[in-house]
Amino acid sequence: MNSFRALFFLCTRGVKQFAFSSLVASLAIAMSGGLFLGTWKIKEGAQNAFTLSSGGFDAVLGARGSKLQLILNAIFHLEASPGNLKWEQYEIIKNTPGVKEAYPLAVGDNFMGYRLVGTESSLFKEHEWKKGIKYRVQKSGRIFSDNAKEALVGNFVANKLGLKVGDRFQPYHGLTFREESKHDEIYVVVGILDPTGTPADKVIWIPIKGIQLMEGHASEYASSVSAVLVKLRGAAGFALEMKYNKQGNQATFAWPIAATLAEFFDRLVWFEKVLEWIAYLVGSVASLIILAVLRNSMNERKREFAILRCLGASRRFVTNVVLGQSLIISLIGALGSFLIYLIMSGIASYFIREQTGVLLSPFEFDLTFFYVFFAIIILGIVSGLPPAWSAYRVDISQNLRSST
Amino acid sequence: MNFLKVEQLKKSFSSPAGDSLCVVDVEEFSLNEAEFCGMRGESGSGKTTFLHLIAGILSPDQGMIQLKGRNVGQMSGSERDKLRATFIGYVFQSFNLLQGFTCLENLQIAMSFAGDLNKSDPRELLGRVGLTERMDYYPHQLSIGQQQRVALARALINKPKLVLADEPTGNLDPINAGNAMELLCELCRESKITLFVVSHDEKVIKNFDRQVDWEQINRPDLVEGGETKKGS
Repeated sequence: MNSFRALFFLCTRGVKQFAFSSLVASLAIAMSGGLFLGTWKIKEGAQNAFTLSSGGFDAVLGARGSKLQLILNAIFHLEASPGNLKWEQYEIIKNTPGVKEAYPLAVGDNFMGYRLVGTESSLFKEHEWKKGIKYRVQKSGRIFSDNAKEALVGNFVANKLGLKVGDRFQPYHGLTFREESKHDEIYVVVGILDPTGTPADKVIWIPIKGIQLMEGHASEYASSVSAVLVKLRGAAGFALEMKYNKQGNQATFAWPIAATLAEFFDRLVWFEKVLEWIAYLVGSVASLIILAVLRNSMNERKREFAILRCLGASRRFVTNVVLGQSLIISLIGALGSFLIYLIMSGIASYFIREQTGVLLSPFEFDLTFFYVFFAIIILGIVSGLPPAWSAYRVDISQNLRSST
Repeated sequence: MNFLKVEQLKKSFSSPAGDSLCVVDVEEFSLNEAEFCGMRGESGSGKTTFLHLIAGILSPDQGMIQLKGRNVGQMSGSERDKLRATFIGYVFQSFNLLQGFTCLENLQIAMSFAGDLNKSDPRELLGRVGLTERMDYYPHQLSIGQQQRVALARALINKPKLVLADEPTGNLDPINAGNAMELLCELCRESKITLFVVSHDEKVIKNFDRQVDWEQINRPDLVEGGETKKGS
């Protein structure tokens, strides 16, 4: 056995000897690290995922109101539509120089709680939802015809409801599912979209005329749209924002989408701060627990250290035994914090996907993991310094005598 | 040249009342290589302190301790650690085995401090002290006599040149005490190790070639308020 092995041996025995208190200390570290990582990464991940989930659009044109509500409604299919626009508004913006693409959206119905979104089939034929990538329909399926009662189902919905090509369904009125509000129209599933990890997975796409002319809808629905998704060319956004938001009072031009979403996330900063402070608090408690565990163990191990010193162990060796013990506790804590983070982010990702269709990537490598890992290790070692110092100064003669 | 040479050695401690209490005051003491020396003395008379000074566990207030020509008092902390690991084997009255470790591990840990030195085979040595079947036992699973045998094996594992034994039979019954001493002497004789045993029990050292009285070589002074009291 070399001295390094002996050191490892003594450290692990120390942890085992005080297994319960060491475990409590590791758990506290794990909770602190997990909470910190979870708060920080889920927020960052959600912000990035939401920003990247704009489906390849730069702006949304909708009824006069909140930009954020417009984006949440048109891009993320959340919340109620702030109102409708005249069809002509769609025609105007579509033909505006600087607008590369424009697709009308109409909402107002659902099937088993999943939104039906009316649009034009060109969205699936021409639009790139991600640079260079168009929507793809799974084998044996196709995009709906603009004049037929056909549906193209988002991948997430298809999986959830078990819908497949050839299935028929009757939509329900409104954005929330109520059994008594079933429409008479029957739609046929003609295709299932490949998964995109964006909100497009979470809706059932039908021709816009389907929503506009759905039996039971008010007559003005026939010539209106809920929103228009816009892809711009060059710096047209400034002019359009000026035209709609500053000079006009008919519509709202939500642009740029990323900046509006960032503002939304900024509003959640207080929540993030609270969780962050809780993580710091738990971290401080964890380091105090390590200190208490090692201090208690020191009182019982002074004799052991005196024996070791008498056998020829150096002061540095016994100091390292204590520091090694705190390193093991913090290592277990650090690994535990990743476990807690994985559980937290797994749950958060599941709910975010369920609610918005946005796919987070919490398990992707990030340098933050390293920073947090080393911060925990340093915290553990710093907590172990006072008892390590006490081990360094252990009086061999005194402690050997006290045992006789 | 003497193997161990002690001259004008003094060590004092502060008493609870704040006085300086001189525990060790040895003018001259020496040991020859491979010599077996037994020293008797009353309990609490400073014998353990004397051994701690020789082993470099304590630093003297003044005087010199020379081990094979090297002054222990002038050694750095790490040199003294090395000295204890490689040159000195220590046997305690209460054995001082590491409780959370098996017999074999107790020996292996002691070996780890001696670096690349030529050491004994721990299994062989445990076999030599009659513990072949008990190598993986923890100290609390052994009898008192067996624990002392592990302690003897541990003191000899790094092939030391000097074994210091502090009341090695203090916790043993007469039969075990006799056996332990016999074994210690046998092992030291085989390897030509210098053995220095201190005990308050006359019987323990009666067979030693050289026997000394601690009271004769130690003349502690109790200093109170500047006055010196000799021989107290």
